[in-house]
Formats: sequence, C-alpha cells, structure tokens
Amino acid sequence: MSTKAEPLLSIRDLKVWFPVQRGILARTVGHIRAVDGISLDIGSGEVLGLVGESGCGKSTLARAIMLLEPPHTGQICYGGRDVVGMSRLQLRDYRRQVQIVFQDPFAALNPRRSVLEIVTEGPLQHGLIGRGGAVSACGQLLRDVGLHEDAMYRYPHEFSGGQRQRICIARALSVRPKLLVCDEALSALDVSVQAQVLNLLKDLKEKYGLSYLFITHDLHVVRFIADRIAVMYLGRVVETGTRDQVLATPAHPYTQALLASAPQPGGVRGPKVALPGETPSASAPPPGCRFHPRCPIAVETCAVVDPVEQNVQEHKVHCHRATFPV
Amino acid sequence: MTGTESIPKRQHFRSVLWQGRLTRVCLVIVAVYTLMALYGEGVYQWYTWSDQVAPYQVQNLRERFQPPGPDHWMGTDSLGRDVMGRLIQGTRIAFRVGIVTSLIAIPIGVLLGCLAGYFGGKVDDVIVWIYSTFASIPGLLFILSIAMVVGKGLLGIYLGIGLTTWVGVCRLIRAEVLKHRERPYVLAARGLGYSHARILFRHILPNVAHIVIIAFTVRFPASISTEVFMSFLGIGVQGEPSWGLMINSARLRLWEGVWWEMTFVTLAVFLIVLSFNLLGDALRDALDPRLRTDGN
Repeated sequence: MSTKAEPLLSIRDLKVWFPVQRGILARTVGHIRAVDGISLDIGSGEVLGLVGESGCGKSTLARAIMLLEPPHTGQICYGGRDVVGMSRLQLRDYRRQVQIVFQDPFAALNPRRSVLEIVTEGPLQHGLIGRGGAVSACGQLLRDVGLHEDAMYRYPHEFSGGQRQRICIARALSVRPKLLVCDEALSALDVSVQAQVLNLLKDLKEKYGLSYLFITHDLHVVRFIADRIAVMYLGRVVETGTRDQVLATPAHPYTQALLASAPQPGGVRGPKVALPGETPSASAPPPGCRFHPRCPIAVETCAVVDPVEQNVQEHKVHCHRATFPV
Repeated sequence: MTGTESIPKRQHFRSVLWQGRLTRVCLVIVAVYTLMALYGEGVYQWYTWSDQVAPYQVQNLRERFQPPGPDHWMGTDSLGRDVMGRLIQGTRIAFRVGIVTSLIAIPIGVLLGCLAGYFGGKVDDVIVWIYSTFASIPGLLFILSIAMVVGKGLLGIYLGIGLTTWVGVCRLIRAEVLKHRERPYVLAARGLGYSHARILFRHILPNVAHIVIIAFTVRFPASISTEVFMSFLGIGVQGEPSWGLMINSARLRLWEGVWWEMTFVTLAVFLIVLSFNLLGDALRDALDPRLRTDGN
C-alpha cells in the first residue's frame, strides 16, 4: 500500500466543536468538543479503519470530511489542497470525489424516489452521464453492487436492509468517487448480510480503485478490511498504525482495553482489562491525557501534561506510558 | 428499525380512506357540496353573461316568509327569494373563499416554512419573528383591518383570510423540514453536491407534502366559517347571497317562527365544516400515521 506517497486525504489538527448555548440571548457558554485536534492521512488505495466507542466523535469526523459540519479549526486537504480555500468548482469536484455510506439504510434513501432516480441523479447533476445513458449506467451500477437491474424501477421500501445498503453504495459509486467514507455502514445489518456487504466493499475497492475510511466499532470488520487502523477516544486519535501492529501489539492502554473487551473467535480471550468509570463529557474533557481518569497505568504526569505523538515502529501513540513491544 | 418506514403507496392511501364508513360519508358530502358549488357557479355565470336577474335574486314581496313547500323546498326569505337557490349560491361563495384563501395562504406558508426549516440560523430567526408577530395579533381583528383597507367584498375576504392564516401552515412545514434536514438521505444529497434548491424542493418537499394536503382540509372549513362570520358582521360579501348574510337576515324574524332559513343555512355550514374536519383527520391517518398524536 502506498502510504509513503502523497496522501489522498490529509487531515491536520481538525477540531469540530458544537457551541452550547444558554439563555434567551443564546450566549455561548461552552463547546462540545466532538472532534478535538485530529490528524490523519488516508493514502490512495488504502483502507483506514477508524475504531472507537460510541460518542467518541467518529461520525462527526466523517461528517466534517463530507463538509456537512464546518470545522472549528484545522485543515482538510485533498490532493494537497485545503478544502477551505477551494473555489466553488473545486468544492463541487471534492464533493463528488468523496462519498459516504451511512449506518442506517432505512433513513438514507429518499422514500419518494425510485432507485433509478436515486442512483442516477448524482452523475446527471455532475454531467458524468447524459439523460440517455441513465438507464444503462444505473443497470451497470446495480449489477456491480449485486442487485438485479429490475430493481431500478422500484422504490426503497420494497427492499431489505442489505439490499438498501447496496443501493446506498451504488448511489455513492455513481459519481465515481476516489474516497468512500463508510460510517458504521454495516452496523445496522444482520450478521450474515454484513459479511456479504463487507465482501462486496472489498471487491468494489479493487474494481473502482477506491480508498476507504472505514468507521466502525467492530474489530473483526477492521481486521478483515483495513490496511491501517486509527483508534479514537473522546475526540482524539490515540493510536494509529498498520492493522497487524495495532491488533497484535497495541501500545496505548485504551487500545489494549478495547482489544481485550472484544470477543475472540473460539472463546479465547486475552487478559481482561476492565476500565473503571465512564467516558468523560466531551464538553469538559479532563486535563492532561484525556484517558488518564480511566487509565490503569496512569501516573501524575498524565493528569497534567497532554501527551504528544510518539513514533515507534510506525505506530503513532499519544501516551506517556505507551508500552511498546521489544 | 427507525421510524422512517416509507409510506406505502396509493393503494394503501385509498383503502384507508374508503375503509372508514364515516370517512366515506364525509367524502360523499364534500362531493355533493362541490357539485352544488359548481352548479351555483354555472348558474351565476349564465345569468351574469345573459344579463338577466338570477332567480335567486328575484324579489317577490307577496311570497315573503313562505314555509318550505313544493314551490320552495326550503321556503322563502324576507324579500320572497328562494332560500334553496340562495343556499346554493352561498356554497359557491364559500368554496371560492376556501379555495382562494388556501391558494394564498398555503404557498406562503410552505415557502417560508421550507426556508426557515432548511436554512436555520438567521433566516429562521427572521421568519419565526414574522410569523410570531402575525400570530400575536388577534386573528379576526387583523382580518377585519385588512378587509377594511382593501374594501368590503370578496377581495377583502380573500386577502384578509389568506394573508393571516399562513402562519399555521408555515409552522407545521418548518417543524417537518427541520426534522428531515438531518436525515441521512438529505445529508447524502448534500454530500453528492446537489444545490440547496434541488435538495429542498426535489428531495425534502415531496416528503412533507402530506402536510400541505392536511393543511388544506383544515384551512378550507376554517376559511368558510370566517367568511360566514365576516359577512354576518356586514363587512364581507356584498350584494350576493352568502351564508353569513343569510344568517344575519334570518335572525330578525326567527322569533316570529320563521325557522327555515336559519335552520337550513346553519345546517349547511355545520355539515361542510364537520365533513372537512373529519376528512382531514382521516387524510392525516392515511398519509402519515405518526402525525396522529400531533393534534392541531
């Protein structure tokens, strides 16, 4: 995988804060720091798995990348260019090249439009196909996502969850994107259907030359599809590395706890690390290391100093006490 | 899964409407009224075009206060005019008022509601401020003052009712658009780079359109009763038979036992308003079961 070359999408110190307003004058009294200083690279043709517990800001990050939430500060660079400075035309192209598949396939399709309209509206709007080519383009896309061509004349409510998710994927692919953001795209599906869609996504990656930002809380999915893994906790990325490194030799205590909590096939589990307490509020994150109130190996420094990124063996870890394998 | 199950298509809609016997009766009543209004409009246009005095305007002082009988099924009024003919003309006026005021109020309400709900922020603040201002003025006073400015007659009624009743529609649409704005299908449309106008009017609006239909069935009878009341007060329809005028004139001789004009007209108003309201409820259930608890 080409992680050394210029990354396709590069996020630098991105912060997405939501103001908390009070009173009749809507005074801003604080911020929910959903995403609080994240830097990530996604290489061309790469699958980056983003894992973390619910509420840690994974989906907000996805929405920020889709330009659905304005960032507080920070950069989102695509092809070496910051989206903030892009012209209208460039932004339009960016929107085309970065597409998203949502978690809930029942809410993600407009119930009043036929599959043909849903799938071909994008390319028609972007001038990728003409009116005359709509039906054949739609047929091709539906075949690619494993649906029958006849599906194009039907409406979303006539399909099952897995089929709808395939339609969502076809809609995303219809504008020939380079990067597909899968925001918990499998979580709402039955397990057997999850496997089918996961395989489909893997096949489509080769066929369409895609990169994925694969957001999930399911470590098995990440193991299957990701090249690299980023672990998020409370608005921050705490650890990034290649899949095997992160899964086999996690360096951050949070990653270790996360991996230990996941059920293993065959019932074999590593040493159980139960984290005390609950995730702190994103509107008032703890000082120092965000993880220190729950960290089993925290020392005094952790409560005061925010850990900087450490680079060891292509792991990038934010931790004072990261335990690296020898 | 979620509550976003799409509404099954037309056959469901039809079956729900036809299933309730009450709803069916209401539909028939509304249909009969519509025919009456169309017939009345035809009669009115014919006598206007041929420049004759229409039979419902013919005064015959020797036949004043005739009780219902074979010549006049609903009797005659204080000037000997046929109550039934005038009742049908009243239906014509009522329908005109209902339709025209809806055509004024609903587009304004839908447009402003869409803009407020979709764009939020400053746009929302301004629109909410406007409709709150409108809503804070006692409705009838406002209608009266508009009608006074434009002058007595149908135009005053159209504008008076039309320009004040969009508030409810606007509120409903705004709330619904607000809900849809954050739905993944809208987010996906934004992600695909569609224009705001396309997202708002091609994607969201069809999903909130049922509110327009429901709003129409609520607005229609409300407009009719407002018109009746305005005409009763004497600032409404002039020179043409309106239900309000008829009630006003009938009230004078009621104590002398001239019951028929008052009875038939109030019955007419009662039936149409009741039917439309019941039909509105049924439509709401048929189009969107989740709205059932909203009550408005």
